[in-house]
Amino acid sequence: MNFNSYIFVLGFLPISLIVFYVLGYFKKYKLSQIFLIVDSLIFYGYFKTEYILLLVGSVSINYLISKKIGGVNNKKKKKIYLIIGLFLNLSLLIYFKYFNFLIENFNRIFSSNIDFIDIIIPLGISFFTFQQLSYLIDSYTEKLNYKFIDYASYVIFFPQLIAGPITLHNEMIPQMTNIKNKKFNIKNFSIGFYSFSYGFFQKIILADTFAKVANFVFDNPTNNSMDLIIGLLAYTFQIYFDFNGYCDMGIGISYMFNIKLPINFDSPYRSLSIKEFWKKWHITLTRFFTKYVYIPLGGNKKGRIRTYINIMIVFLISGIWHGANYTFILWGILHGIASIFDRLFVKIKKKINLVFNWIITFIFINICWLFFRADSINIAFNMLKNIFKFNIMPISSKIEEFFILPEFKYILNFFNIKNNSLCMLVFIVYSFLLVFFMKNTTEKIKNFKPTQKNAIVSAILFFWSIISIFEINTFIYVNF
Amino acid sequence: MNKNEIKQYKKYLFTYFFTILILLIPLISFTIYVDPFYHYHGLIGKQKLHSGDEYYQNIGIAKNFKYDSVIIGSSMTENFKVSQFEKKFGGKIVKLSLSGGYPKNYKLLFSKIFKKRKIKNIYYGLDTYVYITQAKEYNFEIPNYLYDDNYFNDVNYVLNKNVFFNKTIPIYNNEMNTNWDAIYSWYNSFTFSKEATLKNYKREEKKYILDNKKYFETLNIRLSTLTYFIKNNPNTSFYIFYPPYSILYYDLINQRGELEIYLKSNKIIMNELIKYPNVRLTSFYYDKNIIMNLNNYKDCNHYSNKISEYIVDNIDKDEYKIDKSNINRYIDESNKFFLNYDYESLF
Repeated sequence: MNFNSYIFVLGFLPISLIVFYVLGYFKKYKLSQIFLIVDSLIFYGYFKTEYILLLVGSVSINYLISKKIGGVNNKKKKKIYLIIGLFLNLSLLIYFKYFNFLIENFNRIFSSNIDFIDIIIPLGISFFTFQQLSYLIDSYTEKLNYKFIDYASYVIFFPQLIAGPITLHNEMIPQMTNIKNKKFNIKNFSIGFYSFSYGFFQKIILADTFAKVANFVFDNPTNNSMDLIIGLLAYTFQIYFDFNGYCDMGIGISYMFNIKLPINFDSPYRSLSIKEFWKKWHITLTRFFTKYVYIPLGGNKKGRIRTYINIMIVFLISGIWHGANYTFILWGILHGIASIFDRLFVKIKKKINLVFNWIITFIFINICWLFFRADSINIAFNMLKNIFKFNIMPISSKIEEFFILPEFKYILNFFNIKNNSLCMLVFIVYSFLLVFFMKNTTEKIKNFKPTQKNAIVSAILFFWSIISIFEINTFIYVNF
Repeated sequence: MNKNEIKQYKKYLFTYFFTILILLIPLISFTIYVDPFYHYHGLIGKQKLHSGDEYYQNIGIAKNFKYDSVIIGSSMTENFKVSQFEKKFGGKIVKLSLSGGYPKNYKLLFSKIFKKRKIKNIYYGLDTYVYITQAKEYNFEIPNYLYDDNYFNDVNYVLNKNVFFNKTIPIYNNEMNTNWDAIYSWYNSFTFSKEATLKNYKREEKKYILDNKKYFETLNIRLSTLTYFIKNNPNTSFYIFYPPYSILYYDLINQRGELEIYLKSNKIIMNELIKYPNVRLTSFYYDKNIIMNLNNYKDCNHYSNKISEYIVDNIDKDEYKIDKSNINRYIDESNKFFLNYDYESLF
């Protein structure tokens, strides 16, 4: 299921909340925990029931293996079980996500003609795989004594099941087993709807509108530099509002159930360096890579060269994690190189004007998104070439039209305004302002006060979003 | 949390949900009242008939309007004037054309038309090609929520800002009013001439069909969707007519290698239809005065308003009637003509 659908907002969510709190009211805490797991499975299997089996299987086998890791005293045996666990999880992930990519490359290298397999990637497999990997590795380094049902609650929790944040057991399981959290808490409930409304708005009104523009430009790139720049900027905004919006919705829904999810975004486009960017973008992914890849490899403790190598490895894996295409790998590599440069030139950067730092960083991020989004490296390079040729032509009217939402068209007509570029301007300027001045979710929640203004504004945003759902929308990170 | 805080949060939640409701309820009620797709009711109060998307509003008209006769078919029927039919046959007639309609699309309409209604006459333009083509089953993305009896998926209709701004408001402001003659018609927007027809025709590459079995299997299935309603409504008269496509249309089919299949299908359909006492079969497709004169068309099969009126005038005339007495001769002659025609001479 998707958060931005009628069935979720008007059906699944209210019913889930009611049942959960009714059970909590009658002190049926075990039942409410089981209910949430089953509920999340229904959420997960809504589009394809078979994948429920996959998820349940993955969770069960991972729990068994982690129990085995914790159960044996022999370090060698522990390692073997860990390796088995890592192998099983990664094989599943590689099969679903990368098998066809591997076949494609095999065909290319050996001039063979092996057919692709018809694979549909199970929703969120990258997320719940990483989540369980972190648990397996932690069960190797420390003693974990959770019951199966608590482990299952932790992995199969619908607000974060499909698109993260990637949570750690020690920040989640205590919350989920705390009886206090099974009882209705009006403050959390209010915050939940507040966060959800803002996330909803970012996803439906902002991200989906920018998506139309980005798709239009990327699916058929021309040599109009203005179009390309607008298209690229549109994607930069799309992926941010999409991902941040979805996370805000997830955090909000989670709050409705008294569970606090970790922050995943911290105004990333304000960053003055790529190093800073990754502290603010997809924070839980950075955290995962740091804890389970970067530090085990030695982090920055083994000398400069080794540090740089470790950084490149992490970004290479990150690129691959994002998708089965060379564009993602190149994207990862570019970010890796930039991270290394940041460390090399840290003294020089301190002397440079802040604004200049921001400009370079923002432009670099955009260029990387160009490779991330383009269908192939070739197309990406062509687009880049055409952007820097500065073929200044008027922006295609089709692009401007995408910003003229039906409600805006009505207002423009009502006031007899003929300017077709106005909506685009407003969207882009407003998005820049949001990206700069909007408080990140944690700040918003920390500073939240139950004022009438907050209630009315978030309600209007919710209303605006729910009447805009009907359109087919793409959520980028769902294919992960 | 102290009592004061709780009171504040209660007020907050109340305002939040109340604001949403106070925005939703007028939106939903207003949409249901105006009902741009006639999903809930026909014309009430001062409401007038409005133009719109056939696949969106015809199912609603079929369900909710009061009528006893129906004009139905593809774009071949869109230019018909309901008044012309009413003068000839009487009754209360609605025009439910579906541009590019397939048998399955008509079946959906027929189900609603005949539900709890006594229908006097059905005037149906039959396009053989959609009964046999292997290309598609349905035409267009049908908005399922308008065709089923599930009220839950109506959220796609009443909580939809696109519908609200593009349909509900203009219709409420009487910006889309029309009448039964003008609705769905387009003849005023096009030039009908030999020049235009030839210009709009793109000759395809010649293909050959090796296995025609699938076509007739398809024909069997799709034809039954029509005969089902003929059989089950013996008191309804079905005026079924074959529209006159231009000779160019037969070139199109011929290039696709489907001409023999097409003509054979004609024969099968006609022979089946004349079995029913409540069917009055009429055919214009072999009227050489019409089909050989490309000035009657804007493209290979869409004829002018003049021809539309001619069809209505003659839909109950013996001159064009097909029944047991003349069907074999008609088919033999017309088949011979279309199979042997020198299509190259057209270009």
